[in-house]
Amino acid sequence: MSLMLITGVGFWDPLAFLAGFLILLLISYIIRSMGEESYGKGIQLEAFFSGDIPPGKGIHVGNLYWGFSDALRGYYKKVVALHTGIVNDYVAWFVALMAIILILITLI
Amino acid sequence: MILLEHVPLLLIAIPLLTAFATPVLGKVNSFLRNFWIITALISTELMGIWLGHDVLKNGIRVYTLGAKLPGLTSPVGFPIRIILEVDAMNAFIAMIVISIALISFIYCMRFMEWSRNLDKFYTLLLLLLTGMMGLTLTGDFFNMFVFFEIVSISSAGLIAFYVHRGEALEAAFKYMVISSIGALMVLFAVGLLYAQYNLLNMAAIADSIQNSFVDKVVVALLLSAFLLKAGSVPVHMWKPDVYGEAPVPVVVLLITSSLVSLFILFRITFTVFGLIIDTALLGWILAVLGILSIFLGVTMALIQSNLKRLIGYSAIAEIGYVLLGLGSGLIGFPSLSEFGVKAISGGIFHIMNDALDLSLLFLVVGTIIHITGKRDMNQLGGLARHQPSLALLFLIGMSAISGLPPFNGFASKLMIYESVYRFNPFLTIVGVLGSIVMLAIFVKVFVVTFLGIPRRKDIKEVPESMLAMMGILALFIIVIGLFPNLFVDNLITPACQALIHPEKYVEAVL
Repeated sequence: MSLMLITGVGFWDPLAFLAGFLILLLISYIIRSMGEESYGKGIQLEAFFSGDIPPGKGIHVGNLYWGFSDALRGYYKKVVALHTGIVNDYVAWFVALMAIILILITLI
Repeated sequence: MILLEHVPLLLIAIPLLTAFATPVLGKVNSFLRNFWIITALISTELMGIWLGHDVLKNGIRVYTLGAKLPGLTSPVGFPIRIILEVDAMNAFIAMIVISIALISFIYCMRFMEWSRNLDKFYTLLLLLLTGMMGLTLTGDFFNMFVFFEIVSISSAGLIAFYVHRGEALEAAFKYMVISSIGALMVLFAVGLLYAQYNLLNMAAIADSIQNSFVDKVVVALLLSAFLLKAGSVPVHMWKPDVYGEAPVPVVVLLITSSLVSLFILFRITFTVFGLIIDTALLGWILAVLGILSIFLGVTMALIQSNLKRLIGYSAIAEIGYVLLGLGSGLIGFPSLSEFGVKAISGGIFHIMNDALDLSLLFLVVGTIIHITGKRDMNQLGGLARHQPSLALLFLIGMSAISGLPPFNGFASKLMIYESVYRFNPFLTIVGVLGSIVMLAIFVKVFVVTFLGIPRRKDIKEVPESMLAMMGILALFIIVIGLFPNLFVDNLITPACQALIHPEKYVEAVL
């Protein structure tokens, strides 16, 4: 019995992937063991922060991927505003969805 | 086998009777109550496996309530009694529901042990399970409405369980309003069908359906109601509110109930109306809603800091993948190409994977809240130092839900991507992008919550039974990921064949 998953276009063999992954892990370990032995706790330098002085505190979860959310600022402004938390709006969205589906199904 | 004949009914009756016995046993002894519940659920699980095995081996099994013989479906030429009908698809969904419920209950035993209202909590939880099992196994439209209501009412009670929190009451109120409106639409649709055909049985209606204007209205009403319950965009907004406030084991069962709603949606579109209505249009509607759910789910999850709300939005995106797969399959139905069948199989496979992956993530988050008392990522950090096993479990869950190989989510998403690409490459591109953003989100969660400097010192130990339940889910995720073809060949393909051959479903009753 084959252990491959036929996906329609090709196939997927997780065991072959796992074998390849383990080989890569072994190679990585060998390379790591060839590194500088004296490297350890207490000798790390300050984090590189685009040449600026790294801020000591005040960086929160929301700051992660800030570039992504900043680039989509216009989108987020509209979408977050739609999530009002008011149940009347939820019902209004349901009525709108039902109306659109009804029109599409009955008229097309 | 006389007992096997009655198993479809017992799968509903055992949780229902256990629910009513729970408060009585709770008055005697809490250990006796817990033992009784676990015994009942294990019995239900074993019966579910037995029934599933029988259906795969011998074909569809029907059960007629009140008839001289369970298989006597149409004594006067058409079905008049309540009929439960179990094919490979129902049996598959029933197995998922019982398994997740069992894991959730055992997790609950320690997670909720502080509560003084456990009798009521377990009673509602068992009623929710009864409702889901009834929805899954019923072959009758009116009973579908009844079980829909049982799910809604018990869920609302459970969501409001942390009654001291105002937000929990608000979430329960929202859920009740939304569910009641959905249920009204279902009842209206059932009424229209009954007025037209004098029938309530799904197979009999599928056999008589005319594709009239009223039938189209019925499809629109049912589609909207079950999309609402499943939490697809744009009727998804209740989900993060509810998942953010309900106790975690309840959230796990609510996720399962959303997946059951998707199953009902597909039963209606494929089996009842599939051979007569314009399935291409329905398929496009579902696929487009799927894509919107993926995009909105992941982008909204990215800006959350509350862990439960974040996974709530991820759950919306995951519903999108199921809609995308099955919607794309529906476009070519009933003359399906090989890719159409693969798309449907991928969607069905993803239902199972979603149930496992989202349940694991929510149980890990529940454990984090249990040991730290915090749900905001900004107040967490360095948990991996104290709880390395919890970090490993989260890592497995996040890899699976993001579709990383070799976990289960990858296999089902690959099937969806490759087949959907043949219909429309744009849909696949959005799906892949959604997976990438999903991974980015969970990398952020993992780094902030588990790595870095520990922010809290008063961290409690994780009870072993809770760890064991999460471990079982993780084990399933790994095994399905490593041997996906075993599950696809033996469970998914028969379920897909049952869905795309409605004539067999009809023949079993008429």
